[in-house]
Amino acid sequence: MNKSSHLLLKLGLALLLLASVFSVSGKTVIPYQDEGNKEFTLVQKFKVYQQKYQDVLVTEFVPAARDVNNGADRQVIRFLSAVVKDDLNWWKSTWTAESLNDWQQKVALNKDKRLFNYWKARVNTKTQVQLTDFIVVRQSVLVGFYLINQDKREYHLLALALEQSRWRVDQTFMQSDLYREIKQKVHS
Amino acid sequence: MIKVIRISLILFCCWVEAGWAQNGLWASPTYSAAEPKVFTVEIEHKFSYHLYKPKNPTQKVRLLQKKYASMDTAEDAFVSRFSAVTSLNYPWWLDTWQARSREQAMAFFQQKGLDKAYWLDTWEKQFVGRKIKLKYKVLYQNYVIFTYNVSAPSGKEGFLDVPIVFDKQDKSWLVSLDLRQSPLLRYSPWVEGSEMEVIEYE
Repeated sequence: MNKSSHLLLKLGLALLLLASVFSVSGKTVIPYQDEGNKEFTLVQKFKVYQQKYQDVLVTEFVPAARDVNNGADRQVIRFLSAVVKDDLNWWKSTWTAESLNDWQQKVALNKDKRLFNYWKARVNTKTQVQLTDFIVVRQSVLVGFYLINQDKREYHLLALALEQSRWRVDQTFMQSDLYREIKQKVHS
Repeated sequence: MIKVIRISLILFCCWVEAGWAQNGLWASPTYSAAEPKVFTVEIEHKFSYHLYKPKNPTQKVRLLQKKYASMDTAEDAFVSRFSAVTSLNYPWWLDTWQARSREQAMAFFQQKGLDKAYWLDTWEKQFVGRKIKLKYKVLYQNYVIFTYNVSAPSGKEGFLDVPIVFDKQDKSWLVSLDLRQSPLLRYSPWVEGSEMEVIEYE
């Protein structure tokens, strides 16, 4: 190869490089090195503090809505009382703002009414509530209980978070892997 | 005032300690219950992604006038986004957002009082005249994540590499907040080349 063609080749290569790095007529082309597929594993270890209730059987529900903070477990009783009272608005007020927002966004799914009906099928004035677990994990509290209807016992685990100093039932937490793992550990 | 805060802090500490001394927890059952038992739950999440590194990592991204810009590819959209920012073109910047993410962002900015004047001022101070370098391109699900660096006023590389996410809608790539809570974005493991992160929560 003579000197001039060598120079031309170099010039051509330089132009090619420029064209690929810089934008040409509005197109941005960036040459990449393909590093291939990668994996990243995130391991989260949560300390879970579990307290077993000692023979706590709640047979009376709360008659009216009172929005106070006297404990996550008392809020669970209010949550169930609202169901017994058939008071959808009271019941909704026991959920986190995030849960309510989610229902609002998917209004066509009627999530609030469907969930309310789920609980109505399980709780009535004759239902007894046996509290079993009080669980603290990070900023959340989980309350485990049996709903006793005649001979039927059904376990439930509600997650609650503090929102402006009030305990609220937390749908987001109850959809997490952490919740599922805890539920499996405490009730298997 | 400082004294009052100090005293209340001391009182608060005592109260917290008393609470912890009782059963070691910040929340307690109000019905009769046994002492707490502790166990650990381990949650593992695996993320798969595809990584690209620019062949010339020191090359600054060339920004464009609006008439030459497009959103046809993720790279075009990246250039448009920062061209809008450095030309202090607020309406153009708004156009680079995906509609749903823009709504979320605007609601958040409004709540924090971050208005147009704030952004123009921020861009002028932190972006105009700086070099923007693209450091990584990541494909994750349907998203393209770019990690970029904005130079210090001295021209040296900034101390932070920042991620930005693009999602394709119809024929345009637009800025998305869909991954804002994804640990993959938060850890951006490609920056350090890490394959695993273990976090212990008390």
